[in-house]
Amino acid sequence: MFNSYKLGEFFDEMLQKDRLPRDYCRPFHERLNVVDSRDLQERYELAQSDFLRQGITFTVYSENEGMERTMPFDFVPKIIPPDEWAELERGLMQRFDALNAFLDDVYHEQQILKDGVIPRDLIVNCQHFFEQVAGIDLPRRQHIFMAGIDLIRDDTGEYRVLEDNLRNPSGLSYVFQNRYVMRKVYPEFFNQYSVQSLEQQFSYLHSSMASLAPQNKSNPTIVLLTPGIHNSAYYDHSYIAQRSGVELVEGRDLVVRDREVFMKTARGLKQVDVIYRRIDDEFLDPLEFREDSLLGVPGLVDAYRAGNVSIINGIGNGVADDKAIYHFVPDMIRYYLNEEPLVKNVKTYLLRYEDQLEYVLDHLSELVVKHTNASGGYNMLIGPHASEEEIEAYRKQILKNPSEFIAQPTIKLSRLPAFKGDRFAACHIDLRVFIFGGEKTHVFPGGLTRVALKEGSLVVNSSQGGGAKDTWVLEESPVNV
Amino acid sequence: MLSRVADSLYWLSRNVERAENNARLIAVKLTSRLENANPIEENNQNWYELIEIGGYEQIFNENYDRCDDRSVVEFLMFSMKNPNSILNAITVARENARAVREIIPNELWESINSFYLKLMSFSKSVWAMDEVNEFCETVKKESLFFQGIVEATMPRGDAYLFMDMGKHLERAEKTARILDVFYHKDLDQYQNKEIVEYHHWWSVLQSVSGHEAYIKMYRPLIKAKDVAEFFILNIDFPRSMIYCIQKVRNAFVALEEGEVEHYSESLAKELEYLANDLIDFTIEEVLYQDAHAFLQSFQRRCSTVGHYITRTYYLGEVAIP
Repeated sequence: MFNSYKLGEFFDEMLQKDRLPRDYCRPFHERLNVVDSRDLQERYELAQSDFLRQGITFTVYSENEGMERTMPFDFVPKIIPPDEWAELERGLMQRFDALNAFLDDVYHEQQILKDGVIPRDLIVNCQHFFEQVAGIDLPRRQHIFMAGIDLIRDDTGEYRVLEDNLRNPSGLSYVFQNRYVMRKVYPEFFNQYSVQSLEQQFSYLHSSMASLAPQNKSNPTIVLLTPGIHNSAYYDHSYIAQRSGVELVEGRDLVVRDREVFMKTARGLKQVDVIYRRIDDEFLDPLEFREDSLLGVPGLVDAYRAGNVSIINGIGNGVADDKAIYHFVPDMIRYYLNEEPLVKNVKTYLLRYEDQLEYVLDHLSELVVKHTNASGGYNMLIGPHASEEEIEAYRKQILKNPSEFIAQPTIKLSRLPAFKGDRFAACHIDLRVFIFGGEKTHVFPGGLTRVALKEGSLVVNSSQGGGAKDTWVLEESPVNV
Repeated sequence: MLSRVADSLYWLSRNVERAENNARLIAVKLTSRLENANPIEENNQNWYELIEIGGYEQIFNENYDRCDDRSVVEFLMFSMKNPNSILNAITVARENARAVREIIPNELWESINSFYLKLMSFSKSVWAMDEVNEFCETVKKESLFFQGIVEATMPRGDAYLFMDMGKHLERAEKTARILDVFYHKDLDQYQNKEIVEYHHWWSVLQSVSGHEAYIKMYRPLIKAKDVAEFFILNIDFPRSMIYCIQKVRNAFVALEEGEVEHYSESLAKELEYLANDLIDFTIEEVLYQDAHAFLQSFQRRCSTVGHYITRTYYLGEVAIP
């Protein structure tokens, strides 16, 4: 099954350069060498039908007809040894705390701008910077309740941050479902490994939410605000609400009276203290943002301003996860925490600077260029894979408004084996780690490993051929027999 | 509980019940065709009864130029133009279930989701008439499985009570409707009236799975009046009108913990009227004037109760003052 497996110039998370498995992967690798491929194929189908039956699907639209598809699941997990995880965890907490400090600063004194660490115009021109929420004191000064930080490993195996998601990172439910299916369909794969359990995580999540209630209110009423069943992340919303024991509400279930928020129950109105919202800022409140929003609640932002309700994640967090601001996160860590960043960024060129623009335009065929306002792997140029014409077309786009673009060297995403029916192929992966704040900052063990199942592809997004893997953080090194 | 959630639970269970009732009617019609003593006289007009029971004459006539077994089955099972087709009912039920997935047991969501997936794949296949019976069985079983999960796993709190209320109100209304349509069928046209009549009522009883219970009570003598008594007043039969109305009432009392508050007064009253029409009456008294008029007024009262449930618990788009 591994005969045709290629190592290439990338970091392989299972095999070393000499094709021997890394120590902590050895028991798993040995198992893969002895399993029967037909049995694996059957189990693969079992796993997919389990996802379908549970309705863990996303909707793909073609010819006006929505088709429900499951996210492909690959059973070779990403395994993280304990020491590697401990280091990563420290680095992510550091980054999380600095980003939160930045948000509180940028919506209050703006000291970091006054000190010239970050150019002011980058902030005020950012479409996610909302003056409407400047000066609001949040409970515990916590702007970030949950962050999803996307990590990759470069060709030396070093972890780097690719993106910070501080608005509505989704995917937490998939972490649980991947583990659930893995335990159910491939139970014996866990032999010889002691993997950190995910079970208590929701109690941490719940206490995080509760600790962010206004005026430190005890036993607050917490709700999760969803755009509704047609949203592509609805499963995520419903799963989190259920597991953390909070009410799942839509905008039409909430109403604001005298700067307080209530939900409409079968027995009248009930006051709400904390809203974990999964609706974007722009749609939250038609009185403050988009007037045409039917998803939001009129008057919500005013109740927030009055300190009568907590909205988590905070409004306006997008200013800290902007693709251009990203460049300055290491500076934030030094500025607010007086520490050196433990997890590095990917080298990033800001095209707003003349010299960097010039360099990028000369090296388009080697670089990945992204629009700062796009996400989900859309509207980007992957230089080495692009044709002459595509490059020229993108060059024109850049020149229209260079400051809206950033560029990065083609990232050599690490790889892991993925099952291909009769063999294993090396496919690129990344990892989204979830971190939540409140009483204290907590990193969720593991996260969502996304895999580009199309061989050679670097795009891991589920809308474009990506799949998922289970992620194991080991309690201790595996028992080699 | 959010009123939107209560609304979804209520309609989730009403729609599953509705799908099951459709399947029962189709199945009975299929079997009676096979067993009827006078197959020649079983004409397409009899399929049209099913359209009448649902009250779908207009939509059906607008969309089909022929009324035969296939068109009626297609309409009742899969047509998206029929708001109460099995497929539509289960699609709505699934959407409702999805909207309250975090409230209901995961098994319940999985069951309704699988139910929907089966239905979809059958509706898209090239189905033959002789597969329909088995498919009706599947629908019945899925519905019973659904109810079984509700009974076996849901705590008897608000969620359960709203579902219970929805299910029994739907059932009461359907039982009345079935009886109404069959009661008025003119059987005099048949030469061997006695045999036809027997088969006729036998099918009606089968459609509510009441044939076995009926025989235990009345022996195998099937008379219209007895069947009506069984349908309307049998307090032990779980699909009789009186049983279902008592269940709706019990659910209401449990929801309100026995109290009648200002906001729930009209619903309490309406339920009382409805029950009073049945309790302590004999079948002769109930049918004294006219069975049709009685059954019609019962159905209207059921829909008034539905309306008051909506108002009392702010279901759907009802605004909270």
